[in-house]
Amino acid sequence: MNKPLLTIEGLETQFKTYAGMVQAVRNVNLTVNEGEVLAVVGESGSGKSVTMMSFMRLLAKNAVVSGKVEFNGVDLLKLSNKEMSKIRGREISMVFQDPMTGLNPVLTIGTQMREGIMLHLGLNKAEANKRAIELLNKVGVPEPARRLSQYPHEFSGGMRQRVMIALGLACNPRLIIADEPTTALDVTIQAQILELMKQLKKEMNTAIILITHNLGVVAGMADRVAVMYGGRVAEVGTVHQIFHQPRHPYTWALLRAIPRLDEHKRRLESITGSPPNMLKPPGGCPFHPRCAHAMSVCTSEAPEMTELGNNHRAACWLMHPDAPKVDFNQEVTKA
Amino acid sequence: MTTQGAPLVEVKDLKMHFPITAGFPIPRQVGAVKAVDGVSFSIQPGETLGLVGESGCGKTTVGRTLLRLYPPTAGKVLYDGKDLSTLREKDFLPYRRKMQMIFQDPYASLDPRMTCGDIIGEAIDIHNLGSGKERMDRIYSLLDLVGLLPEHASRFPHEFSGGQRQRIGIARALAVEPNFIVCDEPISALDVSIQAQVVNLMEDLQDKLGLAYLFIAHDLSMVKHISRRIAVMYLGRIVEITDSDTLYARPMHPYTLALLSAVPIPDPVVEGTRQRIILEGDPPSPVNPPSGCRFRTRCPYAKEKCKEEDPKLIEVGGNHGVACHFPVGA
Repeated sequence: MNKPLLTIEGLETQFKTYAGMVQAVRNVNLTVNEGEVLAVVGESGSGKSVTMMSFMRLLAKNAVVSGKVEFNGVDLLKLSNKEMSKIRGREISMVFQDPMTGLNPVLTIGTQMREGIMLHLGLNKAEANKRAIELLNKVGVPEPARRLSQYPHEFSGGMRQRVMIALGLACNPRLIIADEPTTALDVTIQAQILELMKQLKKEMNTAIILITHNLGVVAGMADRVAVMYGGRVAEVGTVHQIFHQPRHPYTWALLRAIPRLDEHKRRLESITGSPPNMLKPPGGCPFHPRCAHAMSVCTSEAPEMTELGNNHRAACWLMHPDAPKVDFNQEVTKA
Repeated sequence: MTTQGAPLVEVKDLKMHFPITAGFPIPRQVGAVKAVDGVSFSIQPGETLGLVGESGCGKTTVGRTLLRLYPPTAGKVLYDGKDLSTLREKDFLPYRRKMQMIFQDPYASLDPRMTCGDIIGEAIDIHNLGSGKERMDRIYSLLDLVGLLPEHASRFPHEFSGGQRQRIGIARALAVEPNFIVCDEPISALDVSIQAQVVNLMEDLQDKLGLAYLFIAHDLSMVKHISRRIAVMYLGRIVEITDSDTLYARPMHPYTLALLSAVPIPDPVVEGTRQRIILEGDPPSPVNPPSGCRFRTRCPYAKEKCKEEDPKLIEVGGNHGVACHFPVGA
């Protein structure tokens, strides 16, 4: 379980635009272990999707990526396009957010499913068909044989997302990157899909990177959580560490800003201001303009990741031995 | 359901059917999408009624039909005891002032070629609520009310962030001093940290101005937070309506139960111990709703009676209405 499958080291991604360089991902370090679910949470524009797209090499030409991303002992950023396309879909696959646009509207589900299976597993059409039916069955699409000859518009949102997951699973990948897989779905359908993903993970021992902004989904699915803000990882730890002993002020703020179904909050605590503009990110810690605990050092120098024990790490100057003491427990219970 | 005092807005058996036509060159009606099919509720002055349900259940259509943005197929909408459904458009205008709307998408609901000041000022012009300096003063005070600055009045929508745009949308709704606002998913397009800002603003404005809200959303935890009472919709009907604490503590309709259990709670310990009711399949089409109870095709407790008889929304004590033959825990 604890063998690292994917190691991201010092990943930087910038986009060349007419307005200047957009610093989308700044010095991100993360690991994903075999068979675990790592949730990546953060607001839109925090760099969570771009991080994944960077090492999947799916970004447009104006992206400049540097750093090292080791998967199974191979640096993905150094591979040729041809070598990369052997890993994409075979070893690492992606499930995208929007099941409406993630599928090609003019090809049948069967054609789309067979393509990857035939290419990566070297099966002929009949065998690929059999495998596709098997996969649709596994993800709970009724009457899979008939469904194969249908087009995406004949499927409901939940069914389309099941097809997307079946596509992701097609070649038994070792890692699935699920980018907001349930955001476009209703809660009852979301519950179906999450249940399905949990079950499949148990059966096939696939590692999953779950990108989401829904902390409820994270609490139910993840083994470990990385919180991203302004292109950097703010805090990373097990799901219990993040929810019960969070150490980064942004994590506190995030937990306090959402209402919970099972308790009654008189007032939500909002985070003042808005997320940073990544063309000109604030100097120092990206969260300092919105942070209640900001000090003068936060404005000038970015904090280093501090190890807090048991692989719980946070990038905040409050972790520095000379920093003013904050009652962490109180900050957590306020949440 | 009955509540003390005279309701501000009352909806009685509201129906909105959208015709489906076929045939060329003379199209004829071959069916109807029964988006809203007999919905009744009332809202007290200064109260928030939450309206939840899955996409396609008709919650947005209820909000729009209520404001006569769609002509209702049947049913009545009463404002302060006055029946609005029979009024002519000209006579309806004064009531438009009393009832406003905040839209879901702050990117699509503001005209990109109008300045923020003109967007807010347009409503003031239509209802003749001031001109010249008076109009500008009004705009500035509205901007201040929603936490924007006077210099924002001359800026265009693209210069604002999502949360700020939603504030402009709120200011526009408030410009004509309404008593009642239909909020159609006002926060679902916003980031988590911004959602809390907008919800807090809406609560503050309610306290300050005594507004009543119909808060339409699919995020049940947010609806529970902001609403005093909640109505749950399924396929064009209200299946359960009660105050928000009761809905959470003692839900009686099997659909409400499933909906509540499907909402993830941001706590790994709680999540680890929760029992989920996973509903099978997808909601049926509102063109051909199932006979009898509309939820029976997905209901784990469905019996023969549910197929034959359509359950009415009946009161089961203490302002708690349920439309089910076999309510849970009854």
